[in-house]
Amino acid sequence: MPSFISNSSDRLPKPAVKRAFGLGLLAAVLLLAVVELRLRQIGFQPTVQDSKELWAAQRGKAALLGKRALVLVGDSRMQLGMDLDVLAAETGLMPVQLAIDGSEFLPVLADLARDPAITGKLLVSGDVWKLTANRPRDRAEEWVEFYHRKYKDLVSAKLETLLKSQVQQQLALYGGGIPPLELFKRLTTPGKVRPLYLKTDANRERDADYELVEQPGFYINRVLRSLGQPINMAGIDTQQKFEQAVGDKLRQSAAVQLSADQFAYTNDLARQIKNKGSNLAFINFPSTALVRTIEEYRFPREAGWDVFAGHSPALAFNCWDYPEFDFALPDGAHLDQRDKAEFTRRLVVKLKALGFFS
Amino acid sequence: MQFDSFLFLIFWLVVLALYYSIRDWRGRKLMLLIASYLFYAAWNPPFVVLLWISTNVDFCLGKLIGAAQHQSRRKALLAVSLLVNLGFLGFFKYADFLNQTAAEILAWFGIGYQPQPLGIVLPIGISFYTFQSLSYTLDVYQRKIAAETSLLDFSLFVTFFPQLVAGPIVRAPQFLPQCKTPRQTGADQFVWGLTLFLFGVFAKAILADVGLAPVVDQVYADPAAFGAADAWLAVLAFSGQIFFDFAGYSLCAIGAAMTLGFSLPDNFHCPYGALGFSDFWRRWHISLSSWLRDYLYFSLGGNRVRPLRTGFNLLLVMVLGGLWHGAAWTFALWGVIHGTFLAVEHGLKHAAGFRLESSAAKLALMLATFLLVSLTWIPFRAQGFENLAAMAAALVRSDGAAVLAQSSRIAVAGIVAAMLLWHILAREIRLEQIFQRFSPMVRGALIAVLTTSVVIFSNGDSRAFIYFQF
Repeated sequence: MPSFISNSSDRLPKPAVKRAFGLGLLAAVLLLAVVELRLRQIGFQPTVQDSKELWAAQRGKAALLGKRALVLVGDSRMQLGMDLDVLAAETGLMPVQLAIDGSEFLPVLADLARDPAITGKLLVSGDVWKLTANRPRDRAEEWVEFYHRKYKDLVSAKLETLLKSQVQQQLALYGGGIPPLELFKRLTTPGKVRPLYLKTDANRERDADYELVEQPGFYINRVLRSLGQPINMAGIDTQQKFEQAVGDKLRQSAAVQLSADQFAYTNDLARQIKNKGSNLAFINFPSTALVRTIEEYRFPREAGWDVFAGHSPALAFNCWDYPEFDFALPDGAHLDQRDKAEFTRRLVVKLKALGFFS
Repeated sequence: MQFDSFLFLIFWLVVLALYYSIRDWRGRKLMLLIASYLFYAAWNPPFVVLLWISTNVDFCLGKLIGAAQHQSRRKALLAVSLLVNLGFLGFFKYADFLNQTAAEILAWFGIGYQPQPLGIVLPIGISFYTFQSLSYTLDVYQRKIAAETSLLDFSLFVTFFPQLVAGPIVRAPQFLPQCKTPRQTGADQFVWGLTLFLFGVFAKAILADVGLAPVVDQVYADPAAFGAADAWLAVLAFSGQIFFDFAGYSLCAIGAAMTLGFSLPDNFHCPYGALGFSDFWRRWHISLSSWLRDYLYFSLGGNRVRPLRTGFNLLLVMVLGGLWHGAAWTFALWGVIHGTFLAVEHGLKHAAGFRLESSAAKLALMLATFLLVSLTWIPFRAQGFENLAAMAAALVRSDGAAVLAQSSRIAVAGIVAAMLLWHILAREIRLEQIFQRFSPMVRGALIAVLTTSVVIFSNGDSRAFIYFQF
């Protein structure tokens, strides 16, 4: 039994490990090179892993930029739909991507409202059901807390995020924390495994290449997620049958009637932001096909978006109102990377016309 | 900066390059001291002041204690050291906790008192470096060592970056003599240091973070959603997670120090192969348990007093050990449970002259110890008593659903079983002895696999070392 005064370094393995270590390291480098080359051969591209650290870095940037910032808040529609280069070129502002995929983003808006350093302009995703009070808590809240408690004042966390994102941008094998079995499958089953359709940059801009997904399965899954209810897919072999099944399921639930009171919290946040001299706009992103059918049925305009827009102190912009935003959305909810720049350009034109950037 | 980060790798490479390019030993030590302060400042620069105060106060007090002739003066000087070190620790770690506890006590008497949280940020590693610095003044006071005359050497002893934020808690007699002569680092020692560092990063980043932590987090987040099988799996997973996390950190620290020619004490030695609780504490976080034993338990009379008093001493030491980990009653409870186990075990040995002869009996005791230790980790891991109760209820639930993915179950079972087997089989063997049993081919393959795994699979959300919060 060792006493506490024994030291590992007093005892070295015999024979020494020098040669084994050198050979092991060399083998590791070769193995990693093979994995990297194989992944690229399959079609994988380097991508940065979106994480709370990466988000926190952008959150810090939003505070630093002050009035020069154009802060984007929301969920995946905002993250996939906005081209930051186009935004910067067209507005002269510095876009900061704070949208969080699949999140309830109001805690982010609340955090920005509280921070006196946030004085730039804000574009907020306008999924109307997510603008109501008392939404479920999720990682958006966790990420905000992480920024304030474990990131904002720590030098090392900032430097590490910067370094990590730079490395991830160079190597395909850093593709978003692929689990071991999944990686093995990808390396050994060519043709059956597709590259990731999502690519994230260090500034959290995200591209979705829907040519890399398997359709119509991907679209069907998105519809089912929007529906939030299971459908027995046995015997459903045509689009018509699928639409019928979704419609039947949808009619089993009632439309939601939203009241002005339910938007009071969001409106209060908007007022706080405007009182700081900032400006913000809520953007209801386009949706198509069955996803739009579900959204229109669940949250009818007159009892949802119109109620919100009628009481909001901020600009409320609905893409559904303008034909120039009728883009083909491969999954019914998100823009393909090929349409992102044009969508952003058109949106800026509209917002400028409405005086948002003046 | 964490050992499993790009930032640390760059920092370490720069330190190594500078260290070996400086010929003068004093210059090397000065460079290491500056690097250590930078290392600490990378978290939160203002807290460097605390480290500096702690270092300088204890250095001066050590000299004064060493020079003092009268016992009363020596005692008074030691009291100052205790006051400064434990005062820092108390303020930063326990102020909010004491405030809240006072409010709860007053509430029992019907007095409404709602304290505002002070919002004190805990300086990283404060529990470690205060204990380390304090051990020096205690050693000088007890005349175990002479007072240190070199402020540079003493500062390096307190702030040496490999062990600064999460141990091992090094004692002055272990470290200060190493500062007196230039460290000679041979290639064998340097490469073995790198190898230990690699083992440590693999243990932390892959086994703890990727293999076990997700299951632990998932189950502890909502124990009511899980059945007994999943809850037990999470309990065992946390036993593995905390071991690989903390032992991994210690290995990294030892390895990093070794590349600079310094020796640090072992901090873990197959703790889950322990025969009973006292054996467990000789194998788990050795530098803390030996600190508590030498400076607290022995001061209370240790086991040289009546059995009942010995039991009380064990209980008190473990409760304080529990609270050292964190300002929460769940940590105190963890200490109470461990203290009770130790006291009962001591009583049994004392009364029955308890000895184990057969291998089967030894194996049974090892497994029983592991199981009980695993259960004691529940209050340690739980976020408050509500979470603790929910977790305990989940362990005996008969109607819970199996929620965890099969792949997660297999991963946890595999890692925990392998860990247990290793701890049982290697309880008397050291890491380097195990390693030298392998052929060069196997060694090389092991290093290749570990390196590749760390590079490919450890790029998720980085998790802080568990012991960074203590």
